[in-house]
Amino acid sequence: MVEEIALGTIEILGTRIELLKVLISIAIVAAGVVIARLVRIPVSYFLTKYAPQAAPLASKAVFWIIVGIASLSAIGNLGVELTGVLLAGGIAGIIIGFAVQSTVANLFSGLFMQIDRAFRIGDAIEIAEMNVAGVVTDITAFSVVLRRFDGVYVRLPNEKIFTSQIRNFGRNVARRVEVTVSIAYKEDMGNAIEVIKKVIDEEPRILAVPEPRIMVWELGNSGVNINVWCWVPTQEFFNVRGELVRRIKEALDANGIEIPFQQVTVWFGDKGNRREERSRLPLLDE
Amino acid sequence: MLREESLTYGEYIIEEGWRGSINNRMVLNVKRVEHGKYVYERYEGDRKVASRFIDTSVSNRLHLCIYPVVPVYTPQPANYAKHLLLKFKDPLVMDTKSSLECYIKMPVEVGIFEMYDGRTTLIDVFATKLIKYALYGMSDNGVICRYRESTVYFDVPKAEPLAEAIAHVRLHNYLDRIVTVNMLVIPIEGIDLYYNGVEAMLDTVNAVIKQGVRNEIVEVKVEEGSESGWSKTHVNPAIVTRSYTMELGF
Repeated sequence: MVEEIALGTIEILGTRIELLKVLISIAIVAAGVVIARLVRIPVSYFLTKYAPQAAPLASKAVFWIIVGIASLSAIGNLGVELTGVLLAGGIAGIIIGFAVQSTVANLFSGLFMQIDRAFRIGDAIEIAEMNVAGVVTDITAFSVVLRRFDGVYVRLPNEKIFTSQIRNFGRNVARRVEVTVSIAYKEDMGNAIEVIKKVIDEEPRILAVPEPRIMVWELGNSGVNINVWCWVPTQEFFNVRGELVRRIKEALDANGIEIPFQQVTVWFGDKGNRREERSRLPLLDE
Repeated sequence: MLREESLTYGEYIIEEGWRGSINNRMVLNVKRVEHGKYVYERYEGDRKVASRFIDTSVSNRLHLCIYPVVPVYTPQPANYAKHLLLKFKDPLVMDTKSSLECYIKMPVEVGIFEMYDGRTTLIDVFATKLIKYALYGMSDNGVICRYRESTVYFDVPKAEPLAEAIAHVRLHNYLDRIVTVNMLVIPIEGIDLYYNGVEAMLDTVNAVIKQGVRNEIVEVKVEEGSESGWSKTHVNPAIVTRSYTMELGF
């Protein structure tokens, strides 16, 4: 209860306080609010630019931290003993800290991810450790939401993503398509390379620079393996890859170039043994 | 009455129908199906490759514009290239503090637009010749561009009808050394071209080679306002000067 006791003093909850101190405390709180608002503007501007998802939450946190400090200072100015309040607050803080440990970890991981900018909304990413891949549809203070490539909604905690290896498929403007084509040993490799080159030249989405590479890569078990490396705009990666394989196959077929099946030739070292084997299997011979 | 003619750039007022062909290889066909309703079709050989239904109930006639457009539209959806990388077949060696003017050929696409109330709407777009893409710079910091290798001409060359345009280029070397220029990256998105029959032309490209903050750069600007007397397309409503700084080599 507030009751005027004497000129220049007031009594609040049994404690007599000078009116001037009350006015100073009110001024401290008011100044704190003004400073908090002023600080919030550049913080919000900076975060909107570099970490847009975290901007609203972080700017509010900055505002209330400054207002909280100003309020404690104002209470201290009134002569109220804060040691007990701070001690209780500290103990409560430890307890709450343990309770919301993972929540806070997610919050800070989210903030650091925004600064790190490993991915943005709309990027196709893969988190190898979590065995999940998809398109980022939302980044919140606590989690990242992915739309998996099969359409399933997945929510991933920020803390786990922050400590994982992230593969971002959409970060760079171009990606390399790699296709291995096998041709039969009897075929002319130069001719096959020319046929593949023509297919590549006729596909507009395959970049002319960097120049596509067609290399005889290895002498495989069943045929000669030719590697085709060509760069495409990232958005077209899957479209071009599928189309390229189809067109190479069609072009090789049209030019009579054989793509070999996997073959195994078995040589028998001793004809006598083979006859013996066969003679042991009369039912099969019949 | 059905009009039939070889395709040229221009604006057509169609009432009953219209048919335009490119070397009998590609045919554009527009016909009125009922009052104020038209069907647009594009054929490659005998194969129909595009078809649109156009409603012009208000005007009851079709105002069709066939324009050369910068090569950023095909193959659709192609929204990742806003620049054109022109590689010189023979590199240009420029003396210190020198300037030169030349012409290069660039690819164009053919855009079919419906015009109503002074505004154009894209109906169809195609390229009569294959246009490739290229990467300027590296995959992490580069730019996807449309690509063409071109000879450098010092007189106005003859461009391939409905497939190429001529670009007039002014190059300035402000450096204190002789430079070799192998390519130009031109910002082409949102630029209107000029046309005359089956020929097309780009505004003057101004390229300044100079010392940047970290390395030598080329500032490429497409300057508005050609004095050719040719007609200008009305594809982009706003006139904007496009510029690009080549920081990743030239």
